[in-house]
Amino acid sequence: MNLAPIASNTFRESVRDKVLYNLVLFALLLVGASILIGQLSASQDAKIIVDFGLSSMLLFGTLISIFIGIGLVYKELDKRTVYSLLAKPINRYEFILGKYFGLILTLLINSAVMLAGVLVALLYLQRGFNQLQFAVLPAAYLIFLELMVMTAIALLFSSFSSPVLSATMAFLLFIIGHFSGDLRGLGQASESFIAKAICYALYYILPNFSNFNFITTTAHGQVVKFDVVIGATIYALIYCSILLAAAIAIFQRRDFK
Amino acid sequence: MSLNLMKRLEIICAAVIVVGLASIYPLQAFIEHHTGDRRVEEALYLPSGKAVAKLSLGFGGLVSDIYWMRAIQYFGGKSRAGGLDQNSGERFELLYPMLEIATALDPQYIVAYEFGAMFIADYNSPEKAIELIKRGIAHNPNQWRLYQHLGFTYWKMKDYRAAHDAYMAGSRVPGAPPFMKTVAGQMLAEGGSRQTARMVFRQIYEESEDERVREAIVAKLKRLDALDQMDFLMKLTQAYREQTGQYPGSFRPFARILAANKFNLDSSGAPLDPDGFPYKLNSADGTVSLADNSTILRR
Repeated sequence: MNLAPIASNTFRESVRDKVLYNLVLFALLLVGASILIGQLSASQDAKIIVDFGLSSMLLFGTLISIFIGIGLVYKELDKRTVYSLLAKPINRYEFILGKYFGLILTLLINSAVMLAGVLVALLYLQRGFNQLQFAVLPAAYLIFLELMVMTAIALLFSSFSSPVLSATMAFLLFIIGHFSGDLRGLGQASESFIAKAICYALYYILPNFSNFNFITTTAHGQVVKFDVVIGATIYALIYCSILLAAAIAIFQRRDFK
Repeated sequence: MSLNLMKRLEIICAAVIVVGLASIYPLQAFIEHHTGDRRVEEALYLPSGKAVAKLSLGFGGLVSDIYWMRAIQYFGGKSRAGGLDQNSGERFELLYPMLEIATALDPQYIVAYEFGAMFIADYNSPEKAIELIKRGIAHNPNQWRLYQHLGFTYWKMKDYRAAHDAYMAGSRVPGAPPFMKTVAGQMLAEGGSRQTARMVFRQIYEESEDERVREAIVAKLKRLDALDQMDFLMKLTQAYREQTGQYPGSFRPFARILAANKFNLDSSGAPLDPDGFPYKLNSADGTVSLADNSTILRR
C-alpha cells in the first residue's frame, strides 16, 4: 500500500501552507482569555475556558478540514500533478485515502496541541488536577471524530467539484448537521406521510453532528459516557467509510482528459 | 527596479506606517471631541433564547458564557452608575432576557439561575424570577439549591405557603441539607419574622458560590441588624419620654446603655448603623431612622 508516502506528503504540504500557525493565534487567545475571564465571569472561569478551548478546537479544526480538504484533490488536478502521480504504481483509491489520512494527521496534531493548551490553562486556573480536566479528554476525542467526518465530506466534494462549490456544500452540511434535531422534529410534527418520510430519511442520511458535541455538559465537569463514545466512534467510522467510498468511486471513474 | 530605489521605497513605506499609526491617536481624540459620547445603550440583538440556540451551531456553551458575562457586566455597570440606589428607578430590564438566553443555551448553568433569582426578584420582577428558577428546576431536578432560591423568592413576595412548598420539595432532593425542612416549617409558623429572615439569608449566604449573591445577602443582613437597632433605640426614646415627659434631643443620655449593648458611637455620641453612618433622631416624635446618606438598604 502506498498510503504512507501520500499521507506524509499531504501532512508536509499542510505544514508548508502554514496551517499550524493557527495554533499561535489559539495560544494567544487562550492566554488572554485565562487572564481576563476571571475578572468578567464571576467565578465561572474554568467553565468558560473549557467552552472556549473546545469550541476553538471545533471551529479552527472545521475551518482547516474544509479549506484544506476542498483543495486536496482539486489542487493536484489543477496543477496537473495528478498525471505524474498516477503514472507511478499508485492506485486511485490509495491516492484518495493517502490524502485523507494526511489531513487527518494534521488535524490530530492541531487538536492535540489545543487540548494540551486547554489542560494547561485549567491546571493554572484550578491550581491542580480535578475532574474537569479528565472530562475534557473524551469531549476532545469526539470533536476530533467530527473533524474526521468533516474532512471526509470536504474530500468527497473535492473529488468532483470546484473549491468554491465544495466549500459552500461543506459549510451547508456543517450547518445542517447541527440542525438535524429539527429535521426529526419536523418529521414528527408533519401530518403528511411523504413529508414525514423525507424528513426522517434526511435525518438519518445527513450527518448528525450533535452525536459528537458534548462541549456544554463537559464544561460542567460531566464525563461523556463510555457507551456514547463507542457509539459516536462507530458512527464516525461508518460515515467516513461511506464518504470515502463515494469519493473513491467518483475518482475511479473520473476522466482527466 | 534598482536596489537603491527599492530600499528608498521600503523606507518611505515604513515611514508612512509609523506616521500613520502615530497620528491615529490624536485624530481619534479629535473626532470624539467633536461627536461627543455616542456609546450605544446596551442592546439585546436577539431577544429569544431559542433563536440564539438555533444560530449557535454547536457552540451553545460558548455563546451562553458570552451572555452570562454580558449579564454580569450589564448589572455591574448599572449598579456602579447608581442603579441600586433607592430612588434610581432602575429596573435592569435586560437582565432577565440575557439570563434567559444563557440558560436556554446551557440549561445546567446553575449560577445564572441563582443570580437571576436574587437580582431579578429584587430589582425587576419576582414573577419573572420565579419563571426562570422553575425552568432551572425542570432541567435540573436534582439541584436542591434551586428550590432554596424558589422558596426564598416566594418568601420575599410574602407567599409563605408557596415558600414552604418550595423548601419542602427541595428537602426531598437527594443530598439536600436538613435545614431545608427546618426552614419550610419556619415559613408557615413565622414567615414574616426577622428571625426567619435571618435564617433564610444565612443559609443562602453559606450555600451560594456567587460572590455577588453573597454581597447582596450581607447587605440584607445588615438591613435586618439596622432594623433591630432602630427598634431598640426607639424603645429607649419612648422610655425616656415616659420618665421625663419629652423626647430626647440627642442620644447622649443613652451613652452608657448603648456602649453596654455594643453599639459603635461617633464623636457626638450618636450610635452608628452597620455601615458606619449615625442614626437620625427625630426629637419631635422620638423616631429613629437611617441617615440620608446611609448605604444600608432601604428595601
